[in-house]
Amino acid sequence: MKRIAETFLYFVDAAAIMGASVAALSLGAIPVLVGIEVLARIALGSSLGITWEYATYLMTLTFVLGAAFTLRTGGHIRVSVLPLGTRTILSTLFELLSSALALAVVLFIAFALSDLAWQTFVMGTVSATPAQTPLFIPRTAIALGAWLLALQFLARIVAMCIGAPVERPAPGADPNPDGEPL
Amino acid sequence: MIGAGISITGLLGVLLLVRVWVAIALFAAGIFTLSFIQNLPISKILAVSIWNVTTSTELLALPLFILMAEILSQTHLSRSMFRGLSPWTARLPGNLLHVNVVGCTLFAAISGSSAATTLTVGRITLKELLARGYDKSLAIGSLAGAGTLGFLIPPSLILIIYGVLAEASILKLFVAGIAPGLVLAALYSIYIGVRSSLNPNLAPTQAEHASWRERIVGLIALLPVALLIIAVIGSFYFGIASPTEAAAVGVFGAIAIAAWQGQLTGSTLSTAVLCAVRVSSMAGLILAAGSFFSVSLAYLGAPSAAADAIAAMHLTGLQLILALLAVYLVLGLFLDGMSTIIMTLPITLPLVIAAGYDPIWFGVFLVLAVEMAQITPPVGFNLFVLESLTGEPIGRIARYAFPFFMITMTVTVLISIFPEIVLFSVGS
Repeated sequence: MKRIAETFLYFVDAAAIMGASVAALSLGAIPVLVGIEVLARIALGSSLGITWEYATYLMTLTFVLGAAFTLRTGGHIRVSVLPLGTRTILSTLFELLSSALALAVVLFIAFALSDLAWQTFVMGTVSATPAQTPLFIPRTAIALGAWLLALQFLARIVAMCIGAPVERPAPGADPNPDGEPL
Repeated sequence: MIGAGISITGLLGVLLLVRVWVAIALFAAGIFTLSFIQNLPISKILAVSIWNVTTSTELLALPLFILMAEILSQTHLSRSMFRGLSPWTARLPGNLLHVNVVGCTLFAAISGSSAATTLTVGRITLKELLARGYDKSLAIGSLAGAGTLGFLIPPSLILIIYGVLAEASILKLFVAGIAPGLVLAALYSIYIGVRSSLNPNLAPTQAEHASWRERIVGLIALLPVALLIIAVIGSFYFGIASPTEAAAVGVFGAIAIAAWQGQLTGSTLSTAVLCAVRVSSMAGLILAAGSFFSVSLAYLGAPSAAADAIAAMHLTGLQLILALLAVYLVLGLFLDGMSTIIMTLPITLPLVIAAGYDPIWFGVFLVLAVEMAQITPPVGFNLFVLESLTGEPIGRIARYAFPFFMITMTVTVLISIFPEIVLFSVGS
């Protein structure tokens, strides 16, 4: 059973990293797109016409596809008012409860976003810009990000159940902050 | 309505208390709020609300400024700033303690985040100041206080978020934040100077001498930062570029600085972009949740009900603002700045506008309130950063930061009495 759980965690982790990689590429593409727009305006005196629309899609991808990885690396904000300590029974219970609640909420969001993407596809809705982009494409990507986040919350619960770490170090974090031998 | 309001506030409070993530708690509270009204397509409202806010053009500056700051954090910029500033502050009363204030002011102008400003400047200055025998309370306190300038001096991430939620001009918010930010920095420096003059033991005077050659070399070390600040702030201040375009310029500027310092490698760049994804994603999720919560409250009619309730109290504008300041200080004890603003704005903004205040002014007021929250225990992000840097207990760091908290409080009360201090620069 533990082996199946570990395999599940491995694949959810891989999915989160893939999501974050696409989010990183999207984020990196925004300044390039805006830079080209500025240059086109200066050099040619005209706009690309699609810059702001596509830049916002890229921003949305950054937000949603990076959300699961952010959760895995402890990046989402939460409040720590109660002095629960770490690794006490009460703190584990609270962690399980909050993760289960979060999973329920994110599942609701994922269904809602998937439904919106489906309705957009069925109705053939396009953006109200000269590009007339089929909106089901970015909306499907947003829904995918929500499903990845839901999977990550589920993985968090599974990790707690088998005693695996629920979070991994953030990128760029010192893996050995205390300076002790690794 | 009162029953619904108590239930929603209670649910939000309980969720936060059991350590549910702030964004998730806001989504849950929003869904719960809509459930009070029959036959509403809750899932459709939720999905459309998320789509609308995450594809807002005004928000584009946010991930770009975050990316710029993350790239810069991979460079030796803070060390260069210390080298550049220290010869110029050596003769002031308080000597190198002013490097904390000026360094944070400069870094705030390229970072947009209070915690990032405190961490990046503190990593270099604290070690140097403590090694040279400067008073610990003043060194840590001034860093805690000046670090909060990251929220006020443009490009401020909090002001971008406020601008999107309040539908206020981000450009005007940025410009309006400059004067109060510089006034605060000046007051912090004056306080350091006065304390050091009254008690010379707080800052050693003999060791700090700088020749003109050292000062010129220092200026050269500051040149990249200065150019970046001029490029970013100058471009939108003088109307050459929008905040988003200025942010894109900032990203390329940051890459140029990293390359110039020999820090631009595939590894540092990918780390910076991944860190930026992490911060952007956190901010995006909480913003989407806050926006949905705001929409839910509007369906329930909560903002107008709150406005009616406040109107029945017959408060003057100033009394209302001071009451709100008290509320924000209490909330700031437990919540971080961004969460506080996103959670309360749907109720407080209509109240303040109805009282005749300008939304641009209220944005700056909120940021000042949030700055104070950064240095008040038990939850104060700057305190956490300084705890990790120094190993000092949170309570002691908060005590060191208290004089700077009082200075910020004074400026907040002053701009409440004289809103023109904020509004003169934007012509409102």
